Amino acid sequence: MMPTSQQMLAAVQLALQEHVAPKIDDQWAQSALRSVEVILNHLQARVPVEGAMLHEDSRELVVLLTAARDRLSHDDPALATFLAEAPDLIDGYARVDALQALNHKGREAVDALLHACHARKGEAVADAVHADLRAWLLKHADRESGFFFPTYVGRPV
Amino acid sequence: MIDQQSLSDYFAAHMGGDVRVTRFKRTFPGISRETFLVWTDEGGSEGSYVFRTDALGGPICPVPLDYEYRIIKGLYPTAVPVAEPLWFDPAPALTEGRPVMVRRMVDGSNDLPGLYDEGAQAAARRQRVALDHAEKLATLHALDLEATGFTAFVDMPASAADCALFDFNRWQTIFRDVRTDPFPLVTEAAYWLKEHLPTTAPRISLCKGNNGMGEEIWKDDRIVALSDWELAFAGDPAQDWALSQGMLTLGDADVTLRHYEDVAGFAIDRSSLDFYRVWEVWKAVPTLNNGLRPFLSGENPRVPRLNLGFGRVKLFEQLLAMMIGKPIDEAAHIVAEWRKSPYRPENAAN
Repeated sequence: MMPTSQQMLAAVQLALQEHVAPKIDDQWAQSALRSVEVILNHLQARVPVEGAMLHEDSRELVVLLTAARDRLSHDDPALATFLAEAPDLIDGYARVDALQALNHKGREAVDALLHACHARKGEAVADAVHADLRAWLLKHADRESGFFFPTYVGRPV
Repeated sequence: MIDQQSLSDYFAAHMGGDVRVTRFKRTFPGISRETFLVWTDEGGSEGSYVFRTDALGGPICPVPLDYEYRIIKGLYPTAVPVAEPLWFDPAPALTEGRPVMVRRMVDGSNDLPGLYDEGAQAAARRQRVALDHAEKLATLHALDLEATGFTAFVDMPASAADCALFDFNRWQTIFRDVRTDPFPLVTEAAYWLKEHLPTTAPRISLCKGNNGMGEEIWKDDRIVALSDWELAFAGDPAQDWALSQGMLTLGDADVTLRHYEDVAGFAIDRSSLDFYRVWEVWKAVPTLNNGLRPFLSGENPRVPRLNLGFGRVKLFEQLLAMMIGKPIDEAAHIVAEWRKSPYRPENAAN
């Protein structure tokens, strides 16, 4: 059985903690080691689940953005690109970097739609789309939460 | 990398041939800009200077170094304590074209050993330190910006009531220009914050930006130089208190603010302070995310850029997600709780 990415990252971390950290008293070196420790924590949280998270997140975005486009008659290049590219990627086996790029486009479309909804604030349809977008934003933040919280809480450098 | 001989040649070229650098040291942390303490032999007497330049690929904070230099130069003749500015060099060969500013070194330290000790004596000392900082901020905030020349180069709100909206609009532009990700949640948070912009600034003041613990030079528990002016702006003085890293928790916040108000001659609206505490979390996103750009382009592929420009930014996004849509006082409470992290400068000794 192959060791997982998580196990390998944890082994690197342990080596640094046991054999490098105790021997370092320079401020810059200590800071570099703290930064590396944070990145290793982040990767251990992110690597095993990122692909599945992006897949699920982007699949929901397709439904959300298709509905928003139709309800608002919203014509936006970022949205059109996302909706054109998403089905093939989501239906097949996608690399994580391809899912990241797709999700980025989807979030660009969300951003443009938020501006459109605020410009039409008070219109029932725009307010309803806005409520859906906001709910997705919070869900997305919750999905990513474990990558950054509490990993990045603490001394910044 | 800057070496002693090149630095010596550089100082001699600026100050005259009799000047020789005897030692120099890079200060920690200095991730946005690199700062070096430089000691010289000047015909038998010792000189000491602070040499500051942009980090590779540019600073984290999206503000040019010459702006900071002009702020310090404008403050030097006033009652606001700053180090003497000596020269600004837009693109010297020494730094391969990165801008440089040089100030005279001030005798003091950004560290106050024993400040967080236990006991009544240490607590009284902390309050005294907070009051001294309040006096220095009051002096800064009471400056006449027209008479001191700052209106010539600092972007000015149209009126005191306009301060928050002006800062809001300025940072929306910066956000659009520098962001490396769509950050739709940050966009949504901006719309939420726009609904709560204060309009009660007592005046338009020159504000320092980041201030307080870790930012200033102290001697005998008094500030001898307010340092690090890259985020200075014209706005609501309440905003500076939201950025006063640990000064309001150092002693009794009401005592500190009342002392400030007595010295300054105007009051700080506590609800505005709440707003700015939340607004500063939002502003941290474009400020730090700007530092990721040289990482992504390969100009500065170092881990602090990655952690500040990406990880820390995403953490602030998470914080905004916790606050969005809540009443501002409740959101400010969330920020205050978050700032109790043991790694804040004011808690570093704990």
